[in-house]
Amino acid sequence: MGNAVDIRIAAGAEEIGLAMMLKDLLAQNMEQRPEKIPDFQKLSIDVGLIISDAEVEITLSFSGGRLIIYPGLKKGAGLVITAGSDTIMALSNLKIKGGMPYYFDKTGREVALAMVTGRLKVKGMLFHFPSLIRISRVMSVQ
Amino acid sequence: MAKLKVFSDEWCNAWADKIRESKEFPIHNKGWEGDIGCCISKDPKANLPEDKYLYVNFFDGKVLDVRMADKETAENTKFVISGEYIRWKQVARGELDAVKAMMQGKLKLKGNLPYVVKYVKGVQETIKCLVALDSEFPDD
Repeated sequence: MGNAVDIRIAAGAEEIGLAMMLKDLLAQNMEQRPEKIPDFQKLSIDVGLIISDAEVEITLSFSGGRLIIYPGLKKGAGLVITAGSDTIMALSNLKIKGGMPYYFDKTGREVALAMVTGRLKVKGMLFHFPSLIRISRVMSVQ
Repeated sequence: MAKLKVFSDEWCNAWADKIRESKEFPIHNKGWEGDIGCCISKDPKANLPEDKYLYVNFFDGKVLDVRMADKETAENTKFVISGEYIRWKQVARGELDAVKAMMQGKLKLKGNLPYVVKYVKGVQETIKCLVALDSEFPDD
């Protein structure tokens, strides 16, 4: 499974803490939870990530088991997720039940409330819903 | 009451006591195993002529150890957090959120990240206890 996913940092993203954190988080998550690898391999989409309270923007570019993390937002990203650093942590802590994010515990309610109050915005959710669910599964440490 | 000089034994003990007094910490740290080394880079302009190393050890919601340490001890822990003195000071003063600082690259974490993310609320509670101390910094 060692080479099942390939995660790289594009030039210019090395100094962005979030880029390095996500590289480590996803690589370690795939190593520790290999059942997540098929989801990772099926992802083929650019996902913009804006951390509103930290002024950090990156793009996760998934394709065929490879992820390249770019600095800034790439034009034409299928999904753009905007949230504060706390909400991003909560997203990574979402439990997955029956293959879907679980919104009925404390963390789930926190994420749902952030969505309702606009603290979490997901652009492109309607067109890329299956990818969003896959990303939730891949990112979840629970 | 006199301010606590940061990096002193009294300051380490006071931080450990604050965490022990916290009602939230045992809840969010439940199940945690592992020590943490904090590496603080020297900043001669801020009266910190040498690097400082802090060793923190928690186990399942209990504080086992909070003390100053040497480089080798701090760097051979399960998790290592490093950064410039000014960033640590901002965190300890509550002016900079530690998670945000990591996302911005102002603090760097080495170790099992999915594990830390699971316990992020416990980490935030320990920082809250640190912020609650009346600390005196070398450049105050």
